Amino acid sequence: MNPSLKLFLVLIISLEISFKANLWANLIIIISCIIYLLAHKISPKNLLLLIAVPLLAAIAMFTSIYLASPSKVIFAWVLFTRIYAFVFAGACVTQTTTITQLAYSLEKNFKLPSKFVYGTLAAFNVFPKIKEEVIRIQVAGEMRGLYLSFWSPRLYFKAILAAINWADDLTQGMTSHGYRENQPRSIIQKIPLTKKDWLIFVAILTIFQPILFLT
Amino acid sequence: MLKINQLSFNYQKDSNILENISLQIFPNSFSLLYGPTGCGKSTLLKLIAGLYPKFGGQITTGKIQNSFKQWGMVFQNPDKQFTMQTPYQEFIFSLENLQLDEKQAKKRISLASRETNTQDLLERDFITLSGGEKQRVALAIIIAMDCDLVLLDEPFASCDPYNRKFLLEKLFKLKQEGKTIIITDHNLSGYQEMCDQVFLFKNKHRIDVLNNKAKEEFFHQPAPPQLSFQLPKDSKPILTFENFSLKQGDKTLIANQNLQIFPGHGTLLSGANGSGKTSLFKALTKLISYQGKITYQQQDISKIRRRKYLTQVAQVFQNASDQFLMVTVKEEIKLSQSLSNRFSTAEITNFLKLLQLDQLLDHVVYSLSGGQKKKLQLLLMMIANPNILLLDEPFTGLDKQSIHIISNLLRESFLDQEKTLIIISHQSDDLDLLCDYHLTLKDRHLQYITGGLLDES
Repeated sequence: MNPSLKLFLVLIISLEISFKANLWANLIIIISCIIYLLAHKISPKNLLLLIAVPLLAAIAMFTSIYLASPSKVIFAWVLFTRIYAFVFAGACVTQTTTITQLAYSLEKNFKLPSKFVYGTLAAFNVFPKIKEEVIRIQVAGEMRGLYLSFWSPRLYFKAILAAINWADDLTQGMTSHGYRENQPRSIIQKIPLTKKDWLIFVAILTIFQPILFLT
Repeated sequence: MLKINQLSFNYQKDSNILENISLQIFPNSFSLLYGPTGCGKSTLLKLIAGLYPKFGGQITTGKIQNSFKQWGMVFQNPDKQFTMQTPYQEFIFSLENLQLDEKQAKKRISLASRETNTQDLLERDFITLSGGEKQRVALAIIIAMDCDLVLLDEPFASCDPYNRKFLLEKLFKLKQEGKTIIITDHNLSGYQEMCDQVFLFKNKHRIDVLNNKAKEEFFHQPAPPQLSFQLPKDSKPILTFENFSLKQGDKTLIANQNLQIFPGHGTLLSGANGSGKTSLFKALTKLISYQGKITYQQQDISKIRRRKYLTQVAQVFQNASDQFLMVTVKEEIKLSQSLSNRFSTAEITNFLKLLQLDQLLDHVVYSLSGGQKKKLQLLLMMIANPNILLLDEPFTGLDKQSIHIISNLLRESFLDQEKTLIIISHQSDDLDLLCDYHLTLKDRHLQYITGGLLDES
């Protein structure tokens, strides 16, 4: 499915379930998402992480409602499953598309301004660099006899300085490769947006409405 | 045609980097900008590109008339060049900017990558490419963009002699195809035949254009001495490698190595781009994992705490900004002084003067020129005073005189104190002053040899 459409679909459904409390709808979302993820060969480790990481938040949500008003046990389960519905729906986007594909698609299929798209993309590509940078700053400090712990303000001060510097470098780098703000660009790498994509998008939404509002 | 008329430019008020500079560059010419560290070569290139004053500084007088349609630039630091994750994506990004269609783009990408021998790098992550490989990609993109004006800011600083020669030939070919090329470099070898104009930066008011006779004299410099090295005969090593193997992804860089490094000497570490020299330094500073064992003073380094170990075995990074922790030059020096009492304040003041950094104390470290950053970085690590100093391309962006001064300082404060240096460098000047031994990394194996740098290419 087209990355942007997938994102919109997940956003719409998530928005809907956050307004309407419906246990069945949540469970159906979770199960469909797991099937979708398994079909896309998600690694067992990632699947386990998806279950384990939100567990604490989900339990906290459940107990706080349940303890406050034990009569509302169904509502507590709704909130418990809602967290998982959010997580798995989100995972359907993040685990099956890269940020690059999504950015390309938003630019090319939905005409998002290129400035925004490449700015965000460049920022994402900087992430691994930031991680490296933090270790590098620590090491640079240790080599001069200065120990910087992970909560040392100086570590982050320098990391922010480096990031500001990068922002400038990035724009210069983009300019050196022909990028000009507000200038039209061609499409070399096409991201298909087919009738089938739209059909699936509409179909899923249509099927989901009665599940959400009638069950 | 490019015309610069009475141009003055500064980053900070009242301290002009360039003052009343005029010069002309004709289409389809090859121009070399040459001058000491910090003289404004990079600044001039960025002014020509229009990156300045857009991204910093101001033009106070004069103007630049640039009638070239499309320019492309290769930066001094290749890490600042790329926005995307892989070379292929960067190609697509650049060519979409030029509004090419898919068919044209694919054709240009395949031609340019074949031309620069980067086909195998296209899908690799930029993070995994070596400095020299990145510079090949940078040039490939310029070729694919088909720019009529090509600006290069010390593009070969992290290239081995083979890559340098390879890339220079490509530039020459570009010129024959009708492109205009402006390049800055401290190393003159290979330029004489292809260079039409030499611009000699005398000072901020004066850039000389060399006439034919002056040009000949300029290039006619004594050939660099063919260096020769000894084979180590020492008995007590300071570092040993036992059954050491190093990998990058699934590529083996070094296999089953046994090796000893000896104290009180400088050891030159050479090898082709991407052979794993920088990675070896990362293993030595405990930044990446390896197989086998490294010992420092007979102690397994994996068992020493990083904090403690790195005060003994420290590094001068290839990218100077990585070394800095503060904002201004003065603050950096102050921090170093507070952590080490190796030198007195008077001695440090003297070093600053020697390195021509004394006027720059209030400058932000990031705003220094490439060469000035290198000098400051070296000074900071001299003050830190480790037992072993690893230097990764310490002479990038430095003119001959600065290299000489730094070499002397390194000799006095390390080698004469029985401390150890390991140096990665593609620059041959003054290496004999610092290095007694020469280790080369070839075919996944490190070996001491007696020959100089030129022997490997």
